[in-house]
Amino acid sequence: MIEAIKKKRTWRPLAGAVIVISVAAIAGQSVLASLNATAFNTSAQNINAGTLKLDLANSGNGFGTSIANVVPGDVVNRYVTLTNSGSLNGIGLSLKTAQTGTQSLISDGVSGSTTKALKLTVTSCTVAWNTSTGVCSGTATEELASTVIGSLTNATALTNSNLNSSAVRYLQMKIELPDQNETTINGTLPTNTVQGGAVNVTYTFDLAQRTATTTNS
Amino acid sequence: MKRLLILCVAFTVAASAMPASAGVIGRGVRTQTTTTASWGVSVVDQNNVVVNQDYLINFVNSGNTSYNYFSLRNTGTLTANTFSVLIFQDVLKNKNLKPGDVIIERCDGAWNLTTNACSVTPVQVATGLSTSFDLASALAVGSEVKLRARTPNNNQSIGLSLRVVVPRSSVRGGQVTNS
Repeated sequence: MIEAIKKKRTWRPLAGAVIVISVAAIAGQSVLASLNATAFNTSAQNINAGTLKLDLANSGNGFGTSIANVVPGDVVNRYVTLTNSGSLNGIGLSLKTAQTGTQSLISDGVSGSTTKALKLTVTSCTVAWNTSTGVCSGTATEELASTVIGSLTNATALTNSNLNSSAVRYLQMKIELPDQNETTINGTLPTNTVQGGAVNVTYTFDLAQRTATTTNS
Repeated sequence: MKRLLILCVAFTVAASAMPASAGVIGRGVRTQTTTTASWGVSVVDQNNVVVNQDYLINFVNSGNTSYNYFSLRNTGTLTANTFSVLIFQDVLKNKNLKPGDVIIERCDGAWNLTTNACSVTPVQVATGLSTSFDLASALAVGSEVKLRARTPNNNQSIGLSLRVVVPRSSVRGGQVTNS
């Protein structure tokens, strides 16, 4: 009698496990056999990133020809065209320069009497400049007031700093050497002279993308 | 730990508050060279040596008329229209000849150093007594004015110094160009 009871107790856990596994298997099969529904766009959605391209082109001589033999009081106007040829509107149009060469032409001295360096003024015109006469037949806007060339190493925003896609900005780059007196004695140039100097100026125009936006549609 | 957490939060807030710098930028770059002119006139001595300092003329008592030939050459990059030559009497060597006895002449042709003659009639531009003389004719870049200083035959000595002065006003004024 006692042995029969012992045998029964031995089988109980095994039977319980079998039942649990069976129930789980049946339940699992029933899940796998459920219905699925899938929705998708039949034609793939096209997502294009915009482009931002700033083209800098010479108008007339522009930056393509050196400026030579400048004397104090000279004003040399060169013309360039900026075009946003990308698909994005641009903001923050800025200019900075990097210079190498004769220091007296790059930066002024401490006192007012040493204001000798080359200066740059940028003016835009709503239509193309007449590069022979310097006449703007549209509306002219001073984009950058007269600035010593060596003071433009940091990007400086132009007055009209937005440039939409396909928009064109016609610029007059006015380079001038301030009028000043120097006397050369016996063919020897004075110290800290502006004479016989050379400066390489690299102009960099930057245009940033329009502000990123969140759209709902 | 709490401090570290606060620090992280503060950094995140600060970073997100800064303007985005990862946006697209369009850029146009060009380089242009600008050179400036120079103006100056130098003395070139009889041996064709450019003298970039005061030009000393020493006449030693030779008993004959003495000559010193020299030129003024435009060593700048612009035409010099009017410039001055200052004359200094060299006190140390001014022994016994009157400065006024020295004559400075210009030859618009060519000097013959053997015969001491000018191919055209020479022009007196100054005497040693002068303090300066002007050369008013335009002198193109690299061109020269041919001059000489001479003493009379009086067996005496003198020294002079010449200084060539070219001010800004000697060359063209400022211009506005569009191109």
